[in-house]
Amino acid sequence: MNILIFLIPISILLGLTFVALCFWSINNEQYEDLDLNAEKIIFDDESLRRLNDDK
Amino acid sequence: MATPQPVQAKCYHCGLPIFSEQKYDGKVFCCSGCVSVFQILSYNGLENYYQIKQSSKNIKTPSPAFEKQENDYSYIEQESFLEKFFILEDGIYKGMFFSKDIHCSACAWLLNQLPQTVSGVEFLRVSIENSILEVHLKRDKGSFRALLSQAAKWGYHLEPILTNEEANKRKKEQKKLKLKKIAVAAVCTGNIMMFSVASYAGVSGDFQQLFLKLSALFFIPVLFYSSRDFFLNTFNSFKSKQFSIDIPIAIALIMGGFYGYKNVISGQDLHYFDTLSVLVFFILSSRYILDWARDKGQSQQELLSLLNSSIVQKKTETSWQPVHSSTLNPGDIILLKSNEILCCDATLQKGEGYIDKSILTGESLPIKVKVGEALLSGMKSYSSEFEVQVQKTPADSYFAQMTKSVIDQHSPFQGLLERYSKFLIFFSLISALAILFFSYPQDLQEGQFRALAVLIITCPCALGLISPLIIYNAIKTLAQKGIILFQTDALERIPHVKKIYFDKTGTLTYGKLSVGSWSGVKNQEVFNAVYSLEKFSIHPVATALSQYCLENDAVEIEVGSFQENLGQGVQGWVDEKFWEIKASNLQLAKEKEEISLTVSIYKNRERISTIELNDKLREESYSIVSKLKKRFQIKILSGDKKQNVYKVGSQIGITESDCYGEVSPESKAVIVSENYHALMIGDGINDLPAISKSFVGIATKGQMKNAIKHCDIYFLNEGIGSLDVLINVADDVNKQIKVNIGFALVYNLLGITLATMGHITPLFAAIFMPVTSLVLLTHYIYRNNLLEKKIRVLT
Repeated sequence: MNILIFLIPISILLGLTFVALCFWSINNEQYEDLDLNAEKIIFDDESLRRLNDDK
Repeated sequence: MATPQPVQAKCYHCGLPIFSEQKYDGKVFCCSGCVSVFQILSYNGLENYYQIKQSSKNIKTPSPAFEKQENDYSYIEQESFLEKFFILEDGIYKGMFFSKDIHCSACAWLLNQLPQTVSGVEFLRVSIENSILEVHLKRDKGSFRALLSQAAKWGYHLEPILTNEEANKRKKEQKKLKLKKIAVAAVCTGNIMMFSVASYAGVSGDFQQLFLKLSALFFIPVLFYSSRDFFLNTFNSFKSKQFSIDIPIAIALIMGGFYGYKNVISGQDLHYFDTLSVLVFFILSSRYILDWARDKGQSQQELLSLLNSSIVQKKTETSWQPVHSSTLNPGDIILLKSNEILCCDATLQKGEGYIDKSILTGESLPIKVKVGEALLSGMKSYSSEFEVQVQKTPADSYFAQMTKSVIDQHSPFQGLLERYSKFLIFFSLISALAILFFSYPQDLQEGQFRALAVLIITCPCALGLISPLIIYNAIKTLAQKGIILFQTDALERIPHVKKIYFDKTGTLTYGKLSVGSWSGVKNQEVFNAVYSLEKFSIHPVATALSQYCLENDAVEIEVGSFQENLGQGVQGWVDEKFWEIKASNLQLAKEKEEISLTVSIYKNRERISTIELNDKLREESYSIVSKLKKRFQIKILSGDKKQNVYKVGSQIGITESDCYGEVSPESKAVIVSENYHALMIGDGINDLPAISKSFVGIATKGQMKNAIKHCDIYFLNEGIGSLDVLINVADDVNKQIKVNIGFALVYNLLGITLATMGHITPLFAAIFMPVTSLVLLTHYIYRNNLLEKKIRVLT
């Protein structure tokens, strides 16, 4: 059972990381247009990357 | 029973079926517009568009074949316009554009390439969900005109829209906050569950105490951050003395929290932290989905009303200049092109011809107008050009006043779901109080525990989660079929409808004059002659005739000694024969008040054929109406002449007693509001008062974009074809809700009984609630597949 002393802090830490990441993505407006963002990953084009870097 | 059809080739660019094929670069296209878009794209090295398009699912149906638009965007450079539509901040203009052409991720990709070809673009974002393009442009470097022209070359007609920056920002922030609350609830619930499972599995000793304290710790953010709205709403509902679904949730949270923390301090492992946090998470998520669905409807509504603005030609000292209609002032002289709707109230300055006022009155025949006459906004030029002087700006015009004066007065209606929830809340609160009362004073500890169990088990959690999903899905399905739902509860109202009132002109019929029957000689020679003669006339009859002949491949032949006798007909020499086209029986027609005009063709003074012109019935009207007749009482309400209404009625099988003609907009509204469960469907501004006062009001695509605010449902397609799909979906939604309520009733009664008897332990509640949600979700998915199949058969 001693392993729990190690696992419990990890689970709490993971939870906090999740919340932090989620808050970041919400603030980053990634949930504004679900239809587009779902497919944006296939736009792996040079020009688009440049456009995103500009932002 | 569909007959097998040959596989039709699809356009390489727009994907629509091809009728007249055009080939380029080994690919087939439907029109020259699509070819030129393809050329431009491949010239600029943007062929990727087609790859992305193939792999992306179509979120919306593409609009009909790309029309090559020769748009003049110079109006956008005018100072007055820039000031009105765009926000200037630090030398950067911020603007929003709407385009109906944005329908898939390939469109978004293409528009994302705009900064490559247009200079000065600071920021650009495309939203497919709302078909909106957001652009920030450097004031000194960029030009909106260049941007819009480039987009137009690619086939996207962008229209600037006015936005309320403040309200949008506030809305966005609220949405973000809600998502954050859900995220926090999700993380805490997951962790609490983990510790609870260990407790249920029988962990003991120090670890039990540790898990208990950790659960209590994780419950703090759920109670104080995620659940804040429940407490606020409860407080507000007490203040306004109204029943709210949040009351039992708030009470359960306070009681459960208090009880749980008390036990934790005294070291007892008895708490409801896991169940309560699941509850909070589920309810918050379901509300978010519902908000999302509602939001979608509203933003479209906002957009469509803004789309009413248009570009008009304004007269300057030297020439005509395109301006946006919102920048017009009284006294300006503008051009009203043929088939264009007047955007403001004006007086006729120059020109002669016919005006169609069916949008305002429902009258199906165009009327003649003279110089000096006053014209109202909403009137449409029939076939000639007019110069008119603006009397009242679009914002103050008759059309705007008319839409403003209409106040929504739908009959009050409470959906089954709402009634059930209210009943349930009431019932669970009473039972909880009763338990407390009867256990007082000996068993107060046990009584509190049972009362809490009742409150938790009756929370409309599963029901609350599935119902928004059902409605959200219905909204999505309908949107794909071109039906926009503005009032979500309209779906629940439709099954209660007893009578359906149809508008005639424009709704059941096409709303314009066309050739009905052609008796006598009907060959190419006649077509050619009629076309050549009528081509020059602006009379509505002539327009209808030449249109018909053109559809029959008529060719123009030179006409000798052409003569037009206004209101009588035309005559002239074609191919060495003397032709006359005369309006016959005009006198007779007037007496009988018949709409259908009869025209006779004379060849060398001998009558060879007779043509009847009328406002044709839409193709789908008959089949839809006869289908609906089995279930509803069908009636026609029209502002047109009685005889015409009777005639259309007889065509679709409705007796004269159910056809009302010569009805003013006001009396239409009275008739509709007197009949309690009435559905009104129409397309003109004269139907608006009736639509807004009906039980369910539907507007079809026509000339009243402005009026959308007042209807429950809007059809993006003309005619009543969508009605069938709508009724099917509405029926299905109601059936699903009924099944869900039935299920909820059973499990709530069971839950209350068990909880009152003290058989519900925290473990039982923790398992019971997710299981019921799962059962309902399975049922929802099953029904959904059924519905999708049904809709596919229908369309």
